[in-house]
Amino acid sequence: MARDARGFAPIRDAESARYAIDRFGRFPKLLSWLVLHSAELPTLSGVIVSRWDLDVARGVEEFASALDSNRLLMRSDSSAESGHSPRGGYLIALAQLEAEVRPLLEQGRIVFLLEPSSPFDDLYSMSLQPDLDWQEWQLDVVGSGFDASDLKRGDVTPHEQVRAHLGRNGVMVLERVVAQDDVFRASRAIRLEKAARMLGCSPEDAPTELRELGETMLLDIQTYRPIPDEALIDTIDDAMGLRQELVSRRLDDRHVAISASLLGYAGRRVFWDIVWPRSKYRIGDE
Amino acid sequence: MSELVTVSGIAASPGRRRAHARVLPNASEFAQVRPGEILVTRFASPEVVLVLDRIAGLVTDQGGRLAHAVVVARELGVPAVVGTQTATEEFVTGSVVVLDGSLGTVRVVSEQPN
Repeated sequence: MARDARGFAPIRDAESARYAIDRFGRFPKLLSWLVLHSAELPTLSGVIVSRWDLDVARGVEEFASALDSNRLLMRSDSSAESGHSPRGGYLIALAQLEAEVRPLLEQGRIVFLLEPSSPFDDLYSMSLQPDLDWQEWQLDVVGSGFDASDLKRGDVTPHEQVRAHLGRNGVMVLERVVAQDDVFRASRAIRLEKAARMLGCSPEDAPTELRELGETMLLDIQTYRPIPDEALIDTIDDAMGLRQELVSRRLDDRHVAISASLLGYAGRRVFWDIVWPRSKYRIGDE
Repeated sequence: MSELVTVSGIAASPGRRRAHARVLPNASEFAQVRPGEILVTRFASPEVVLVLDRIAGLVTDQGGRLAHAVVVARELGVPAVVGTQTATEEFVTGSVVVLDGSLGTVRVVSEQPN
């Protein structure tokens, strides 16, 4: 299927992302994923779906087939998110995609389907924020089995807080604060409650459900191990590449929050999104 | 004595405020918050952003400095202490509390509801 066919746009590289930015730039979350691609940061490939019909369904199946997967990670966006936006980041079986995607499209949202990555299979997830000069960085980190949304949505207290500085000799980690064990244990209980909601079961049954899905990282790793310096430094090094991309696209390079994860035990690094929180939500819209 | 209750958390947005606490564990209750109150809630969820224009400060049980709601709180100059673990259990609505978003502390100074 041609990349510019209406209703369906595969994004696999910087070039296809740049092409899509012109069409979909009004969707901030989608735009940020495209900008990550355009800046050639490690990012999951995916397809943008703006309507649903047989041709689009066939194209999505071809995309999944090329990945040898029968599931895709579903995210969605609207041009003006409120604080009540539906949560994203679900793995959806191909057979259920239409039922999941159509209602979102009917709400005026846009859907992007990414190569499958379980939200319970992240070794570490991070939120990063540079200062105005992109010299000093704050990072919040959660450990295995948690995901970036836990940090972005304030669902749990970070397992580790890091301060780093970009100096003449590269990135230096200046300070680390690791959460106490009781904070970590409380966050695991919250994560299991969240897993239960996502899996449609009771919190008591969540461990069994996760084991049946083979997504056991949250269960297997019961203490927090601080993230290695190298992983922090590599992530910040990559993120530095974003600034020029933002500036060249006349996007605000101040007050951004960036999220990333190390996927699986192999720790494949992927960036999820860049967010300008103040413009993302309608302040005072309660 | 309950007047001595102090909780600590992550110093997430600088500034010091003395105001009445409004304890609303769940985001679905946020319509109850009155202008000038310090919102005490469980999570630093995106719904917090919707009331940031009317609260004097933010205290949460969970969340960190880079939760989106907390990033916005900093930009708007709303002091915040997050990740206290127990604030919604320790404080009651109507208490006067002093929030120090630079030190990461919240202290009850009066439990007389207004």
